[in-house]
Amino acid sequence: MTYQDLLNRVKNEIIVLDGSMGVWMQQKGMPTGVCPEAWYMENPSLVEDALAQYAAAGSSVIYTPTLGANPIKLKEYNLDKDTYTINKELAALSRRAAGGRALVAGDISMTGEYVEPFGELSFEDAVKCFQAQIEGLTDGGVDLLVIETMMDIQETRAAIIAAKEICELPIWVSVSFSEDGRTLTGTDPLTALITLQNLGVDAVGANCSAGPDTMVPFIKAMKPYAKVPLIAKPNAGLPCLQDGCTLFDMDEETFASHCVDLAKVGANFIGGCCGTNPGYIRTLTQKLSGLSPVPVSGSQGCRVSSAQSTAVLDAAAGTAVIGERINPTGKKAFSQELREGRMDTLRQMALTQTRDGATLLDVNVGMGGVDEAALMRKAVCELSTLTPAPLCIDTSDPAVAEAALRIYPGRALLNSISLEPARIQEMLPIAAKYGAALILLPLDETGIPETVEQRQDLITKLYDTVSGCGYTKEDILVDGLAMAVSAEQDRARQSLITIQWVTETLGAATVIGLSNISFGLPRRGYINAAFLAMAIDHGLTAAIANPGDEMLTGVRLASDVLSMRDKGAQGYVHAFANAPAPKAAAGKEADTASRITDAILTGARDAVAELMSAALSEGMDPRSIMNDLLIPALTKVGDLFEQKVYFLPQLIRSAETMEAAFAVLRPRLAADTDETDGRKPTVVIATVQGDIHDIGKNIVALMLRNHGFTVVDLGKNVPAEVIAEEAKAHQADIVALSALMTTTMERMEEVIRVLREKGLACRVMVGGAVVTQAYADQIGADGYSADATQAVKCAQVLSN
Amino acid sequence: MNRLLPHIPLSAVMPEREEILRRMRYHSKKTVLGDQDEALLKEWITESGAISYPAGIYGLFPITGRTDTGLKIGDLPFESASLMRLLANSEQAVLMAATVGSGPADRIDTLTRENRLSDAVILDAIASEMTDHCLDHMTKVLAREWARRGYRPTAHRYSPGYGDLSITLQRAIFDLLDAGRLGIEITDTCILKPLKSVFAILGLERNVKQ
Repeated sequence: MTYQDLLNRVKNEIIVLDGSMGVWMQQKGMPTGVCPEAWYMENPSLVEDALAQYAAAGSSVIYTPTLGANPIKLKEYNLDKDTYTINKELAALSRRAAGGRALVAGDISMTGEYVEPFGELSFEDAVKCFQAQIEGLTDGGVDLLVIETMMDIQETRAAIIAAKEICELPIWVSVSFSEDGRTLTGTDPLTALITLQNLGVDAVGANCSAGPDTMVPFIKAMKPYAKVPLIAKPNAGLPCLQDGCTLFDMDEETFASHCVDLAKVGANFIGGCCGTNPGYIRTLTQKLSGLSPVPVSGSQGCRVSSAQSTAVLDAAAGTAVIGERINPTGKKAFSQELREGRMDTLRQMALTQTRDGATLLDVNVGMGGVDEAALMRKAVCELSTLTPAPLCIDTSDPAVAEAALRIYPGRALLNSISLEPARIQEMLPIAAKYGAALILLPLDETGIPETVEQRQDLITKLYDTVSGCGYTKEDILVDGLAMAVSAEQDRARQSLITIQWVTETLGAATVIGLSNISFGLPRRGYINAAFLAMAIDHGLTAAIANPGDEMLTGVRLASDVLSMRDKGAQGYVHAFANAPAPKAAAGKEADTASRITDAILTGARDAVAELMSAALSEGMDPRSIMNDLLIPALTKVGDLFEQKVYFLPQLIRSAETMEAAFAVLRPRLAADTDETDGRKPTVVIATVQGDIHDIGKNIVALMLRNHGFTVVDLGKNVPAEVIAEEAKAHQADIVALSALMTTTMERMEEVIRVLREKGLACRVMVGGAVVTQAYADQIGADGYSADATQAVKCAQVLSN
Repeated sequence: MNRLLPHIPLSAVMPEREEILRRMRYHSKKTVLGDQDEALLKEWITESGAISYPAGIYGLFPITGRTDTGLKIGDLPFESASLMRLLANSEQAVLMAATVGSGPADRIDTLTRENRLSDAVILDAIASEMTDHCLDHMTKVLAREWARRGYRPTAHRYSPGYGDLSITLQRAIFDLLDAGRLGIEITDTCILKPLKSVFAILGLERNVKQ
């Protein structure tokens, strides 16, 4: 049987694969803890017989028993130097077992290490590791390679690229998803499919995980978009310990029945993983016999992926936004950060744009005087673990494009390819190798096309060229080439006609770099928004723009409703139904007193100082503001917090507002104070020595200041002697101590001892996560509080 | 061998809104959040993601002895009746360390200095929850790695400093895991730096069919 024979059968029947090797061999006597591949080499007849049994049971493809035969795994047994020999001999053994009845798939799986950007193993080391194994397998005579039980998309990509760089064998891949439908690095079945089938593998699917019933949704999610046959190789249910043996809880009949469901939802190759044996495969062969396969659809739409999600670029599903902000052009501080290799602003831009609804993120790190390829690689690694939004790699330099596409653990969009000879000759093979989707820019070496017809001509030539590398209309977006209307006003119309022509005649997706249109004009936002609406009306698929621009977002969502893209206006309603309404023009202004009370209640910390100045200039008495407005409002805030109507940030923000208000009043209150007002109680507060947690202590200090105490905050990690000295120097009425850990709260007792030794009569109150009333009593503290509001009450009692 | 996860995807550890709110004395039926609160929460969720670098390390260690009051993991005694009960059916102990890096703790300090304590409290809640989610993520990874072999992690975990598990055990865990590889330091008083770092212990037990 040849691989082509197998492909011919896929159209008409479900192909049966083999079952488990490792778990079955353990049941046959392979001791735990040994290197399985070394044991297979020592017991060749047993293994050959096992594989032959699978072929006899109906398996059309048997896997070589080399799941862990990569040098990193073999190194655990000090056998890495034998990688080639082990793989070659076990492949040859498998061929003998197949005896021409079945094809032999060279089995490759995980190294046990995470590959960058998720782990420490460099991508290139991972590629080399897999290549060492593949060389043995190919020389052993395998018919195809199968990369299975993969739990990390990046390691899977490394294995595929490793194979493609040294051989031309067909490559199958099956991924192991958790019950939540994701791999360990967060990849869902559809995302795995989009990334892997665009890398050029010949079959994709799922294996291991749990039983066949659990696997049905994974195959179902992939099938509508699969351009390749799908693999399903589930376990025989869940593993459990019974009478001292590890068993799987699904019998042959149940297993095979569930596998019929897998066939019905679209699996083309079905076999078994852990817990199965030739008996399962025999029953499976009988059950699947005569079943017609669900055909391979051959259409994935215009989809790109990150490690964690897939994005569709389809005008009918709504206009997409490709976030434009990660670009140092015109951003001096950002450029400087990138030059220094810092990624702080880049991370912030990525997450802000993702939050604001970007479908993809454009990444451009082009600037003079840097190693752009290295910088792009670093940025792509950073973004890959940070945001689920797929990336649009924005560069005209082939080396930069390759650096990004090789390391990116998804299917990126490459921005862009034009007909300029140097650009297309080098860029296109790189894009094709890594399966990137493409933006086609209608330019050639003569520059920008003058007419619509010239644009159409260039687009046709570009499309014909990329088609030669396997690209279809689903894999491209055509750039509508938005040009500044301030220079040539007719350019907008040309772009709109181009977008319409690409949409209706070529049948491909379109994109524009939106803000180009308004270059050189004032109030550019109006031009951008109007052009976006018009472009959507002409069929635009995606705009490269700032997703945080409110006007653009509103116009885009509204245009999607009016152009029938947003069916039932669901997206529009979802975006705006619960959004805060724009502030209406103020009606009758509330009086200053009410506004001061409201400021405290709502925590308007940035507005309150102005309000206080207004109140004072209106002639309000500062003491009256304090006693009649601020303190009652703050008391109400405390009550609302106790009733849980307010949560902690609201309480603190009101306290901060109170402090800001008091800062304005303080000089006036001081001027009005006479001697009868007396001295305010003083609290010296600190986190004890050895402890560096201070957020709780800071909240208590703020609340105490709010309630009229003079607070001397000594900070964190403060020695007992220092606390005592400061308490003496400030004539403290109260010493307040905080500690979060059991190891540090013991220091509280020491502080109390030192205070008493120095003859200081101040009262001591304590608090912190592990501190209790019982502990406070035990160490002789005068007061204890569990939170900031209680601390105020405690201090009020102690100071009276 | 210890397993290092130096770059855990943010999406795997970003907490749900409700989880963050629960750390700030929020009551789902009583607390009323205004537009300002919602906007701040949204802003800090984004910002905390930008400044956090979630990472973790875990290792499996043999349980070499058991008494009524504790157990021995490797060569080290862990005196804790509650840990002993948790690991009663476990064949191995799992030690874990997780951190989100120094970004959140540094920003909390800055916010405090700028008298923006209410923002600091929100960031503190998000970062604490993210750190816990790093442990959840590693537990999930562990569960996947061992499921096929018929093992599962215990349903709960303990961290030193809680219940009867002494905080001083953090030093032993730090050494066993070589947690310095995560950029974590430990003080004389066994406090971890950066502050948004946490250690935990759980067990790996057989998935027994009754």
